[in-house]
Amino acid sequence: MTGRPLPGREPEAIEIALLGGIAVVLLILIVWIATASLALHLAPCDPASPKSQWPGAVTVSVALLFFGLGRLAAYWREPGDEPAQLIDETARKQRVLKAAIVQGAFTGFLLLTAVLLTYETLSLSNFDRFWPITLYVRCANEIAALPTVAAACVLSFLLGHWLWFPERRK
Amino acid sequence: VFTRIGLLLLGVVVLGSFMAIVLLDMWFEVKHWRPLGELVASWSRRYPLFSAGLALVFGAMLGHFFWP
Repeated sequence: MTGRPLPGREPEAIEIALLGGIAVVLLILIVWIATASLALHLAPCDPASPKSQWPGAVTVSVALLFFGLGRLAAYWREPGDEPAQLIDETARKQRVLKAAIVQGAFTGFLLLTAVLLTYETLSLSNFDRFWPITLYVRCANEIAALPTVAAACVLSFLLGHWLWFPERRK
Repeated sequence: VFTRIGLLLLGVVVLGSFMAIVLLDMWFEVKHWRPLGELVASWSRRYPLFSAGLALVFGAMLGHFFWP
């Protein structure tokens, strides 16, 4: 809790470099999507006949592979050095703050997922007015397969890293 | 109807939310706090049905988007 590493603990440079690298890749993808989408005026593909550059099975398999790699990468992560017992009032407040941050982030993430799934459901029933997320993703996969598959792999890696985190031995 | 704002929003909101969580996890690492994944793992051990549901939604979305 105090920010001091445990005795004999390796520096967390690898973990920070890993997460920093992923953040940079995500930032590049966001900038790419922003510039590419603002340059478009008409739908660049026909939703009635999606033409994927790669077989769907390959894309899904590669994304699942990255899901597994996310778990493997989690073995690099050292457990935190928080004390099991509450030491003092400051430590207790920090712990409460951290719990609030984690719960807020997790709740926000689940809410966002629910909102996106709701939009997807509504747009599927009102196809002519709003494109569902599916069509945007398939269209992106058609006109720019590499960045789209890269985004799918990065998100799979992160989900594997967070949702399939290895259990620590006490 | 295709809108470029829709594409822009989708990319920025989805990838941006993941990026925000990555930055949060980095901050935890710098502070020597338990990694986010470890906290999520504790949650999923406590609520296995919820975490299985989340994994199911993710797998279904992946197949639905890329394997029509």
